[in-house]
Amino acid sequence: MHETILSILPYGINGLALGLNVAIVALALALIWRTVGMLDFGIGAVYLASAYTLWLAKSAGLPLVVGMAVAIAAGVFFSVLNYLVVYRFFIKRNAPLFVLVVVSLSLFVATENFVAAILSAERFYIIDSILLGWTLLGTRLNVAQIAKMAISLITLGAIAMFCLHSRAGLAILAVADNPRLAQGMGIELDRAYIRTFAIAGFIVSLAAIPDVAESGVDPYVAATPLFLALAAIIIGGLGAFKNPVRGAVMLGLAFHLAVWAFASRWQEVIAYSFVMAALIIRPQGLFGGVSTPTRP
Amino acid sequence: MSKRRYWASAALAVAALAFGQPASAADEIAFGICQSTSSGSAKFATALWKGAEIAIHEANAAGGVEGRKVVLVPMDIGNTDPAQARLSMRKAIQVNKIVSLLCWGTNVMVQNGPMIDEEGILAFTTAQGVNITKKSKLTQQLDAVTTFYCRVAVAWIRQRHPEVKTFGVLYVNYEYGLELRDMCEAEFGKHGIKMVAAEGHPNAPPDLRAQFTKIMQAKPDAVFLASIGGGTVAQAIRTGRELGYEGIFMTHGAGDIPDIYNLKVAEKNFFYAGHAVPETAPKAVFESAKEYGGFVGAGYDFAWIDMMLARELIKEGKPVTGANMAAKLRALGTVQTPINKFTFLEDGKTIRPMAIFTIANGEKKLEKILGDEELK
Repeated sequence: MHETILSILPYGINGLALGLNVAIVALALALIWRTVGMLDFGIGAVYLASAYTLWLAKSAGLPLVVGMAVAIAAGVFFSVLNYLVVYRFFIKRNAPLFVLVVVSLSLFVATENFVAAILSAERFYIIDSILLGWTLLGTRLNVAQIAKMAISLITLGAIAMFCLHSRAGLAILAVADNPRLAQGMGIELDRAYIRTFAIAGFIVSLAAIPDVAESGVDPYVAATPLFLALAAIIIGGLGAFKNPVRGAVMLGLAFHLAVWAFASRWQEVIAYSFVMAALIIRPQGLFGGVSTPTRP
Repeated sequence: MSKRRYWASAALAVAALAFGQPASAADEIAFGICQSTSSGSAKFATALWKGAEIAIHEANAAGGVEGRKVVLVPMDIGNTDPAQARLSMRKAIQVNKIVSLLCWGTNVMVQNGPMIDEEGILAFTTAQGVNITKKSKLTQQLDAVTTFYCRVAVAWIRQRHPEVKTFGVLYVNYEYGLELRDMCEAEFGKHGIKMVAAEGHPNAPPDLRAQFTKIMQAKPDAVFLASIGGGTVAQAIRTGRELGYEGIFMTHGAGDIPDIYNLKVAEKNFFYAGHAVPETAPKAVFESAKEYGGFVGAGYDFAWIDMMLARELIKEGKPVTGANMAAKLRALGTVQTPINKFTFLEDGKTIRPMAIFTIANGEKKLEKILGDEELK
């Protein structure tokens, strides 16, 4: 028994780390879904913008901290730009959800290929050695993983604080709950959407920076976190912002514990069977709230 | 502009977009090269294209092949998707009139083998699956098959790391990775090196920590990375080192990309078997291979061999068709390009030089070239 617990611990720790990493992007997806009512695959493009900005800043000889700040600014800028230049046109015309999904997915794929075309598909590294790390319960966690876990939990808390204790946050919540009523109360939808995309861009940048520091950047690095985040919000549901985080942690644990329990070739079978089982048991997400938000 | 003319122009523009490039003119000779948007393949797809482009620019600048201009046609195979590849290949054959193509992906080549024969196209492949050439009479390996890669790796291990008695395999969980795993188990086993762990991963894994934790529990002296390439090989090396694995990493052509040259942690206890682009190669190819990886040489060889075959056929007064090129290639048997010496066998298999590389100072370092005699 004692041996079993010891053998499962490294998988549990790494699963938790993966889950909390996925949770950051899931939070951004959830925020846009709840407020704007669209699944924004375009945050993959924002992730790339932030990741490549960090790499360019580092290549230009800027200190890493400065590079991170510029990368966050780039993430916010491109997220808002996506809304203003692309999505707003469709949202104003009340485009159905699937149109917005196709548009945002196209934006993401086009960005991936644009980056590959102008910069190459080569992977570039920001930190070119083993990252500082510590051994914990039979495995080694590096500083990027620990940062991602901390960012995930802090972001969750910060979103709650922002939404409940600031005028801008309250306006976003009002729009998320009932956009027509919010409009009637004098809240400008467009401004609320811009703020939502800005916050989502900020969150996605926080996910991209430690990821890129740990594994480097190429045009395709955003796809896996994006699609895992999508699975996480489906599992967790969107009733509250903590639900995608719970879903992401469960997904991360499923990915790692599947390898502990079975041969690793079953990893994806087990993990995605878990997604299906979760939806069969609770189609609205394990913790509730997957439903299409209304738009005026 | 009148409305009618506007719509006519728009229709023409759409048609031009839909058909990509116009059909080759009658005096042109067209070759197709697969291109991909998937994370692993996109990297060596670019290298293949660059290499072929160099060979074709050289030839066209010198007046073409017996006065005929040579053109390259890209064929998009998406995420190494056999169905997408079939559509692109058919379009390239029927619209662009290609006579030869270069593609990869064990599934892509196996599933489209019958179509290649039906259309009479000479196909070269850099896919390493041993069964590919059984599905098509007109397909010829340009790369070594999986068995050779494992054989070369174990030979190097025996020579340089005789202390290795056990090994593990981290493989991509589809036909090609499974084949490489099994072939390496057999080839290493012949030398008494036992496979003690084998863990699979999806094409784009979120991380490899779980797989590597499990491999490390078996305490292998070395780990063979049977991944597709792209970021996965780099990710595997980094993960292994992060988790404290100090043994030897080895891989096949998947390691022959700049992602790996740039990887500091690959500078110790790592080697890969890949394509040699010697200093005697044309300067443009040698320089381009530094930037895009060893598959530049394969792209160059493909175009060079195709143009040589076309030239021979024209001189003999025969039409330049895929079937005629395949017959000529196998009749010649041995071909020396400006880079490599190939022996093309009747069954579609090929004996070609391979090389062992390590990484040093942000560049690949050639350790040894293995010629056809050694490989036999």
